[in-house]
Amino acid sequence: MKKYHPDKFAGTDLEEVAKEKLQEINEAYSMLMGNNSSQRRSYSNENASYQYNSGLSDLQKVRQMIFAGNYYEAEQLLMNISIRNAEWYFLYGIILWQKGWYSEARSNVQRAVNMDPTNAEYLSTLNRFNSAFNMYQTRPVGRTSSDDFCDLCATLYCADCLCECLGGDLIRCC
Amino acid sequence: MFGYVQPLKPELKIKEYACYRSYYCGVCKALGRYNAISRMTITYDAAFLAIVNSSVMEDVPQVRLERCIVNPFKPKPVIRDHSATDYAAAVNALLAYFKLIDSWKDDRNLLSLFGSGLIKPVISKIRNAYPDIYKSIEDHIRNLDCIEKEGVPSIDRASEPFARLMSEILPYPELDKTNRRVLSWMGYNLGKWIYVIDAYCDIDDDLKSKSYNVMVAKQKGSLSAEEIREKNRDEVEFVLKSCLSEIGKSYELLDIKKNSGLLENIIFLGLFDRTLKVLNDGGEKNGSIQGAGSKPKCHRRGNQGCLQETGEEISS
Repeated sequence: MKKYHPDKFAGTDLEEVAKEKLQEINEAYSMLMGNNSSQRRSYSNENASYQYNSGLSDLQKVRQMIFAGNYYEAEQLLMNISIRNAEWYFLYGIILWQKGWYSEARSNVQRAVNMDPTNAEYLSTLNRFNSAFNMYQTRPVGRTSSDDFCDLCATLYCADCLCECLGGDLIRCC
Repeated sequence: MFGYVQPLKPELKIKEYACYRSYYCGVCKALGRYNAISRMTITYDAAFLAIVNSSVMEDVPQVRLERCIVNPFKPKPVIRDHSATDYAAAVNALLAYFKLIDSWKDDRNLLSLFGSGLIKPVISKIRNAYPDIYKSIEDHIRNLDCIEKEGVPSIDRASEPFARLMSEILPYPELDKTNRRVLSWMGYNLGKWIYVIDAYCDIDDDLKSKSYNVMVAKQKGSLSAEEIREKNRDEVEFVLKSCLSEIGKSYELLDIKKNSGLLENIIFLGLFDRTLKVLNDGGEKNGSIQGAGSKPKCHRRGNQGCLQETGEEISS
């Protein structure tokens, strides 16, 4: 579940794929459990059927489009807005990041932060961009495969030792 | 492609190395089916292309022991008749061809014209086999030309055509939709990474030959190569690392059936190692990165790897 958590993939094209994978896992899980627990809170795509509210300002509409995943439409609308305030630069930064324009995305969000330093959302997004690399670096490489028969032997051996320490015995012959 | 995508050899297991070689030789032999000359164009990136596509396929590739010109006495394991190696060979030949044409147009380099003439008969065959791939490479190379003519001063904009190109050629066309989608995002980021690294390494050369380089175009006034590198370093580091992070995430979402150890080595160690070397040495002419790595030279580098039995080229 942790592997496919959408937060990890937020803001790029992978987000939707991760959601689909999670959905599959959720479905498989509820099937295995034999009960219809699909009502369980799952990381589903709740935003997909977002209704655009006509009473909103253009910038708010752009924000909704972004959260619904309509980045292309959002960019079109954003480009037509002439007032360039902090929110505008922030939203443009989010759109650029999704496109993979990392450098320009960061400078736009940085600009939003400079214009409105008290906004926690802008700041946390900037931090997210800057720390995107940490996950890549901390990943253990070559230790992920569990198809090793030696692991099984080692585990059994350890279990046996532990049992013997406590006075019992797991494997009689050794 | 430029030969930047390689495993970190000291961290490879021997079986993974053997596997890597068999894909590399497989692509080389698949190129040989077109003609002998096109085998000279093989790059390490093409081996990666074959491995990553093969890793999400269900079938088990056929490995045969074969001799070749480079290893005439000792037979080596080679992957034969596999759709992933065939595809990688086709893409490799196409990219080499377009690069030679480009080099002829830009520098009027006669050797490039001669080379492209030799590969040309192959290209129409490949074009028939993969018409969409041919079209997308042709389109994006044209966009790349426009970027150069325009003298675009933004890293993100300048790298876009090559990133797009890679996003379209990395997924083998017959994979399922989800894997294709993930590979396309991985390709985008890999393409961007390659473009930016190459531009950063080529600052010296491009400055001398006065050819377009986005890092130079960004700076106003005349600066030395060292100053340009220094000024761009932070941005380049950020872009490269963001790309690596997305490549890593894409890998997590792939439905990997085999070669996971090898792929993890390339993605999490090989690319990272290369990134650090380029950032620290600034593409100086030491180590495995050759600052003077002009495009045809990179080809020769890839080709040398094929000529060496143990592929010492990979060691870094």
